[in-house]
Amino acid sequence: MKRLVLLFVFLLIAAPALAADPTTQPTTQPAPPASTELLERVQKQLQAVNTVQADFIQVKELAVLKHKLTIKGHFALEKPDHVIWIVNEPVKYAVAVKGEEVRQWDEDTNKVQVIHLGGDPTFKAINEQINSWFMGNYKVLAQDYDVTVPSEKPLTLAFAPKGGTMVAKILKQIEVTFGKEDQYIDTMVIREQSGSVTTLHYIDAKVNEPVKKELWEIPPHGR
Amino acid sequence: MADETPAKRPRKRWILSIAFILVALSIAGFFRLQIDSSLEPLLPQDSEARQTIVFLRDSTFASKALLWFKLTDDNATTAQLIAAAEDVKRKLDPSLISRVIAPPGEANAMDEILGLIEHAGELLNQQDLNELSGLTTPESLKKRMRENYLQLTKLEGSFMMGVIRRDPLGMNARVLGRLKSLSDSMGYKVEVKNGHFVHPDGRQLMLVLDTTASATSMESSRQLVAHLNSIAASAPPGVKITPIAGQVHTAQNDSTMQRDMKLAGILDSIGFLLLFILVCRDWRVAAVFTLPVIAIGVALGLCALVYPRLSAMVIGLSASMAGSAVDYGIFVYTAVWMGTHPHQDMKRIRKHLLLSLLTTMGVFVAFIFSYVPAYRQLGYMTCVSLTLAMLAALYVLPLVVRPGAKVMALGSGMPLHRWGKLARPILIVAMLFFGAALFVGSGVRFDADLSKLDGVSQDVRDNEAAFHRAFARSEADFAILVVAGDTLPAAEHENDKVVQQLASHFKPGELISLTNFWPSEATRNENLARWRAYWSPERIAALKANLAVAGEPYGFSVDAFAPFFNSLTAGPATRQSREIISSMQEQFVAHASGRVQLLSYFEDTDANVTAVRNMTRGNPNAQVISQRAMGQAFAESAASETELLVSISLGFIIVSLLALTRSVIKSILIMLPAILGVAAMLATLALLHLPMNVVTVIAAIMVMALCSDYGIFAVFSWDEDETLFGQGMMSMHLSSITTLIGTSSLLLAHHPALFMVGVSLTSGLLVGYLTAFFVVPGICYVLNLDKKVRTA
Repeated sequence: MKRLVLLFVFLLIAAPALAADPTTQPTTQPAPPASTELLERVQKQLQAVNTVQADFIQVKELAVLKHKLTIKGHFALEKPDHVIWIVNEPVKYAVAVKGEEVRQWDEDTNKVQVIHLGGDPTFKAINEQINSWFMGNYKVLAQDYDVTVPSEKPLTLAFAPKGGTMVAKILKQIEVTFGKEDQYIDTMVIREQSGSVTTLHYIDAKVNEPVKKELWEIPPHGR
Repeated sequence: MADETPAKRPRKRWILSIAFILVALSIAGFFRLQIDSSLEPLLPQDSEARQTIVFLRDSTFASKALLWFKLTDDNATTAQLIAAAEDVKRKLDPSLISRVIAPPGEANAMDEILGLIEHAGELLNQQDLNELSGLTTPESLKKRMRENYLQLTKLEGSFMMGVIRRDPLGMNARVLGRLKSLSDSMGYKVEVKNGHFVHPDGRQLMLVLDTTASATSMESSRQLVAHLNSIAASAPPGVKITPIAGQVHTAQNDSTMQRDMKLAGILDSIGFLLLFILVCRDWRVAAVFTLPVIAIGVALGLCALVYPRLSAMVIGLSASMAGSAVDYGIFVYTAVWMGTHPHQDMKRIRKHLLLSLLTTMGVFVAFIFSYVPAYRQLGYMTCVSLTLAMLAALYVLPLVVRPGAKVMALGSGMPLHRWGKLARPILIVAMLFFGAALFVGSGVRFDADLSKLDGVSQDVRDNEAAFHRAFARSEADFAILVVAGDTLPAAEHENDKVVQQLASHFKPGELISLTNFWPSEATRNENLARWRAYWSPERIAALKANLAVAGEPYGFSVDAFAPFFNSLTAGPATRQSREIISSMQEQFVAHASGRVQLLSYFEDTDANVTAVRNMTRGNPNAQVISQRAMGQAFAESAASETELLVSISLGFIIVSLLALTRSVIKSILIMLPAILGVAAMLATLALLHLPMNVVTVIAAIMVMALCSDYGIFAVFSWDEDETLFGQGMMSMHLSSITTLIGTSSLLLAHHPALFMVGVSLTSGLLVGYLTAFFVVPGICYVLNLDKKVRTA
């Protein structure tokens, strides 16, 4: 279960992490498919990225809640396999992945849970997903998703999972809008089959700037 | 026979008549004969070791095979790997591969998980329900709602929403935790990708095959392995395919043995040819070697009348005893060649021939009383074949051989008394050697591990180790508890009971059983009835109200948990998670002889195996399959039998020797080559770090049987005042040379079992022969035995 959850987590972190510009709505006109050249260009741009860090605002519209759930926090990623996701509001929570290790903390338990995933498929899937979305392995993603281009300025790519996969049963589409010079993801919108929508917007994104050592700490530094 | 008289004719007719009857009976036996190439007859009747082999023979568990796909090209992609697997699937021969085991569909994984959660009532036991009461108090619900809310804010929030709606109380942790623990403890490191089990590195893949070939069947294993190898050979560029299967061991053992036997056959033929050209140069000598073979053939048919299903290994071992039967022929041949009156010559050697037969048979007579079916067959068949061979040597061979054939050096050499005098210093060497051999040989231990006799190549071992390293989650060796029933529900029900019985020995998670997650239908129905009874309308109403209050601070909507309450009142909306359950059952359910077997796994330690064996003893539906259990069963059966067999054997040999020699000293001298031969064999095994096992035990018996013949020949020669190459000594030389040619050719064998036979027999027989040649005449001289004997 944990494995499955983690898999989904990181499939969907993409959503939160790449979250969305609310202004980018699915168009009634079918968007043109992304050309190989475009994907290669984006991939090339993103592959030059070694670190990304940003604050984020994630808005979830969930059927289970009466109101929209707004989550605020900070996110950082460093090549090749270091990522941290810190939630500051409405609760405090953080998860960090480094190499073969996942560390989780939340304020309620105030305990750090360490999961050694070893050669676990989930871990590999996580890395694959993170690297694919954030570090630009878009050609590989194109094997599992139909990629279209709803907007060229700013560049927005829409990824619809191909049928017959577990992801397709849950996700309808992930829209990724790129920031300046297509070097980082500015917004992601994740539309689920259930109708729930999650948008994730990055604020003050910094690309290729050194990530402070204390930022990787779990529990988060100065919580 | 040159001196045939009318008086001999009736005897000849009798001989022919009896021979005809025996051959006719033997032919009748051949119609009943079925050769059993499995290990089954070698294991004690009704023992767990035997049950293990029967399980491996019959169960579908043992008929699985794997194809390991690996990308060898750094630039190749997972898609190419999957394409290669798909291509192979199309090429599989349906007569050998009944199906390819598919993983649960990826697309339905979410529904499957939710299905499990909605049907949790079937899988939650009384203890779970007891804990549930504590989870529904207002205080607990408040805490739980906070946890649910926190979960929604986490990365997995979107996914967890469906779970939370169906399980606001968090009961799924129990059900899914058990599923995860079951899957983690037994499973492989694989991901499901496009309907395939793919390694997390994306560069390896395994295709799990259900085959029609059992690993205990030689022929079907050979066919399957040939098919899998041809598939591996046709792998596309950049992809390597490696078969991983028990059948590979069976087929390779068979081919290694055949190759070894062919080489041994060629070397034996060259040796015998040289022996014929240099020593005998008489075509009639062929009868000496042919008659025992015919005797064994006749004995085989006669044995089949009593044991229609004969072990292949028994037939092989009985054939090996032809060495002893040849001794009789050589003894008769040399006696007839050197004599002038065959009838009197035969009379002169008859007693020694009988002695030789009885000392050899002594061991095999004891086998007739063994618990091991193969030993009983061996005892019966060897006794019959040796008796027939001796009768043939006594009554048929003299009809063929004529006096005066050419045997090199026969009758020449110094007198044995002089040789005995010269050999005196060797007695000291022999004593020292005997002491050293006993000291070194005492270090040999009995090893019941049959895997040591596995003649599979290093390549296959390396492949299996690499596969294990790549895919296996656990390094532990597992033993299997098999619980059988006529139907799946019956087997599951029995399994529930047995696992419950074993709960006192194992800590949670140590006994990996399907029932931990998916109990029997009866138990599931009980659970469901208990679950439904628990959720009375009052309880449901109270929970709804309390949940609403507890969820209010976090903004949970009114119908947030509607799916959960609907499943309590109207039943689950989703179907049961058949794919997950079927996938788990692949590992835990097998079939054999029309019965269903539930397999549970535990670490194969002495303590665990002993505990499970003791706790399931007396249950006809439960058995333990383990390398250790097999070792324990072997050791127990060996211990219980050894005393009986050794007593019978010694009793028979001592009585025979004393009755026929009427001398304690002579009896000891006759057995001296056998005693030193076995001591030397044990010392050699110890020096080569080889164990005593089922193979070397039989080799030791053969050493005893053959070396006692040498002792008889040597004592006979001393009695007869022969020369070094007189009739008795020449018989011994020829006999030992022919046997050693055969056994030493096995020293080049690649198969461990044949190599062990070669080492054991060669070392034992060589020392036995040298003892008979040097030590026996030396002792005879020192003891002045001729005088004593003649005085007596």
